[in-house]
Amino acid sequence: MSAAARLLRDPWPLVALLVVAIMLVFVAWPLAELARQSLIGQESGRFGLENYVAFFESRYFRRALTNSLTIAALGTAISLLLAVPLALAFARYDFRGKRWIEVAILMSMLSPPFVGAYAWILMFGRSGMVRQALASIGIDIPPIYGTFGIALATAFSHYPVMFLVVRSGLSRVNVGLEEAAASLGRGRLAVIRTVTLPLVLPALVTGILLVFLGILADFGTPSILGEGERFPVLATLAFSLYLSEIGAEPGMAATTAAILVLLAMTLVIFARWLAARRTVSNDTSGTRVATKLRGGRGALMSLGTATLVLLANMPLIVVVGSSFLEVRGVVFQPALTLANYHNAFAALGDALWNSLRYAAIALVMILVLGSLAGYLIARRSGLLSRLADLLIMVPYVVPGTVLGIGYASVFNQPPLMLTGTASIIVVMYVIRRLPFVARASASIVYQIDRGLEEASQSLGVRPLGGFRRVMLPLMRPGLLAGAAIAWVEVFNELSASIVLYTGGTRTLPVAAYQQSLAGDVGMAAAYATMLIAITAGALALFILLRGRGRGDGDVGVL
Amino acid sequence: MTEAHLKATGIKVRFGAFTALNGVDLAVRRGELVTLLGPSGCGKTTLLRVIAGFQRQTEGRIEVGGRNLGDVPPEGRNFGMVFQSYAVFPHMSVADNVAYGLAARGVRGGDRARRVQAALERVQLGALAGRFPDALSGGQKQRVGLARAMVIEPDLLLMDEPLSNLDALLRIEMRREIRLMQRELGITTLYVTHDQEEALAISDRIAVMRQGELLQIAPPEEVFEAPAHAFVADFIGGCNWFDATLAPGDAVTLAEGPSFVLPRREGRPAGPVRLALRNEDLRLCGGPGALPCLAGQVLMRAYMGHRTRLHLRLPSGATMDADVPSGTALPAEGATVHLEFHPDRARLFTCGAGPADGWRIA
Repeated sequence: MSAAARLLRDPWPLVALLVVAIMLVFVAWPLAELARQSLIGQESGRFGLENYVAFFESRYFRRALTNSLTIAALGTAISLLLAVPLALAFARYDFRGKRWIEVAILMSMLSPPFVGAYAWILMFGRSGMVRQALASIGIDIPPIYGTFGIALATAFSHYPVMFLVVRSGLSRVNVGLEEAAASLGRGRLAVIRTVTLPLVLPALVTGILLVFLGILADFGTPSILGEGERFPVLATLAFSLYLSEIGAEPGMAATTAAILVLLAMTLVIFARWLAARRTVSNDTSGTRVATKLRGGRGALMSLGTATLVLLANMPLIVVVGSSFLEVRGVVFQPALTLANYHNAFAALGDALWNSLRYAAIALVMILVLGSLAGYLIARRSGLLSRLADLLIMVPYVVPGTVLGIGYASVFNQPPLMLTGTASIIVVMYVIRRLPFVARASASIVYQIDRGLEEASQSLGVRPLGGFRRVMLPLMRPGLLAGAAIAWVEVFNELSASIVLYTGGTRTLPVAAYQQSLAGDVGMAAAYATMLIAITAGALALFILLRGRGRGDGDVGVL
Repeated sequence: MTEAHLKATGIKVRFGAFTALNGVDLAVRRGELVTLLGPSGCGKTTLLRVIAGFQRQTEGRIEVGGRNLGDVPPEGRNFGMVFQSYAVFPHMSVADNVAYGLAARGVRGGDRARRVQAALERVQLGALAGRFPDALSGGQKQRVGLARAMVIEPDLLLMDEPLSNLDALLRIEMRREIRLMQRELGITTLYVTHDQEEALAISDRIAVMRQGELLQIAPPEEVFEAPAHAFVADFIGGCNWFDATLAPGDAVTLAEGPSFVLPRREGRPAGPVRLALRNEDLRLCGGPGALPCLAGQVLMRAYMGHRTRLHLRLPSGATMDADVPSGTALPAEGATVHLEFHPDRARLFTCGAGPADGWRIA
């Protein structure tokens, strides 16, 4: 067979090449450029570690580093406190309203974190509603800005991830192992300590890693609750160093970005090492049936979890509610109005249309590339596909701000002159979400019996035809779920768009962020509500799409 | 012997340092059912996948019907394949599953529908054509897999442990159906299994494999009665093993004591040998007589219906099993008994490297 004929029969090497090329151009190149810039002295222009030395010699920069680590640690701890009891309750028990409470937990993921941060300001900011109310009865509490406020806000927007990971870890613990421990005379707490905990440890580590990285990369929350440069973290620092109107320092911005990426990479490697050291092969054959709680205990469980979740959703409720309140100055009045939406739409420009357009185009590309790459990772073991697997995971540790700065500094000149265009935003969306969809689709492919493709082939159908007629239909439900999550993330993307947008390519999250930071409180709430509503509406659409069509068969997804 | 339909010559497969197949030769005649039998890791599935085209051999040549399959991809070979996991397409109806291969061959319309229906009738699924796989039992799924593989009129049918995921009773029923259908259609079949009973029941010939090598290929009776290799004797039917010495003049002396003389034949190498006796070849007797006889203490009696298995300890400390007819006066546990065997029933093997190793010499 000639090389061409072989490729026509089995084009996967070509796909691998394409994925590798895309990741090299749009991930490796910008990051390499940032690394290069960080190594060129801001003052001297000489190659070396001068910028890094300057970074660690500056008190302000060091503070950004400690701030980042502090809020990430504190935020992760609060997420654990919220998520682990909920995960335990959901994995072990059935109680009334469980499904609705679960939907409410996931609601917290539907909006960009800075919306939650903004809600905290509405409640506990300098002129926050709750704070004013408390002050009027003589209780003075400090405003929410700063370390604790940021940690709290980020925890509330990131805890659902922890919940999902820990719950799935818990539900995979073989119930027989716990019963064995109990039958050997161990008490309930001892069973949890000696059997359950070691077995869910990998899930806990994954959850902690995801939340920690998420908080570390979060730009909007510390920017809003940190009042700009007063409370710097690495992400906001890199941003302001790069885009500052007076005296931008691209070299130091690159250095800050590099430190952020190195930090994230160190954490991932550490978590992997930890997981590899502690991983025991978990025989998952004994699936747990949740205990039904009835009567008083059931009611207590429903009430307890619902209260916790309501508390966590308070920011969203406040934002949506206050978007319909009249505003005088910077203070909401107890009167309903649509005026905020009037003003918001008047000032909207192309932002909404841009967001919808870019996100939709990106989503199609993410789905196509993600499903191909996922298949590649799961089924092909060649050098190229292993390289693709490795490269595709890089954006996972690259915060949006860093990627944005990297793009702005690489794609501002030929051969790829993209800055200021819509393409650069679409490409950035694709690259940021591709790892997640590719991973999700790989895990779906892993679950599909290899024999199906071989059966198709033995029946006379070429590999590509088998992929289309057998694999794609089976991957569809999982891909749709992945697409739904990608939509949420892409549509709400802020931390890279804030670097890359120009007047004509402003997106809705950027508009909402700008109003939240220094604008009309009513309009900010209206924009935030629009983000939430469109995200939720699109999700409902995905769920409808997924409900239709049949025959998911043996393929368990999500 | 007619000309071989499938001819695999010198098949070697290496994965890095590991040799999965070490030069296997296999010839299957037209219409014949040959099983590849062996423990897991023996290379039987690898050999099947090489023939199917899913695994490329490091060395060797495969021909079917005189056609060299060197570069032919799996989809060009026109082989039917049946999988242990059934591999029934979960998103297609039973009929669509069976029609899949016909569609790829450009068979359409009424012709296709007729052939699909006929194939489903043959596996007794005619009434379930519209069902989806998740509404089928494991046995029904495998029937779909069988119909799907048969309907394309393959040049060779490859079955990879097709019954391993079914329960014991269904397994026996299905293997009878597979055998009857295979004979009726005269379809050349290669069948992989690790179940010796299944292999004995279904095959025209059994190819016993171990560690990437084919030790013996022969009809079931011959594999059982005249195992060519100690491993074959042990894997199929099971044996008690004794160390023995073969003296010039064909006198055999067991380390446990008894001795006998084999019928004279040229070329048996004198020296240490290993002797195999099946459980049912041992008979209770009163004491040493004309036949070679072993003494042992009964450690345990296990009633198995028509026969009772005696688990015994020999004077040397070794243990062995003997199956004796139930109903007769059986020795109590703890009693010392004598067991005799006919020299014809003893099989002699050279001493190999492993406990069940070595080629047969008598």
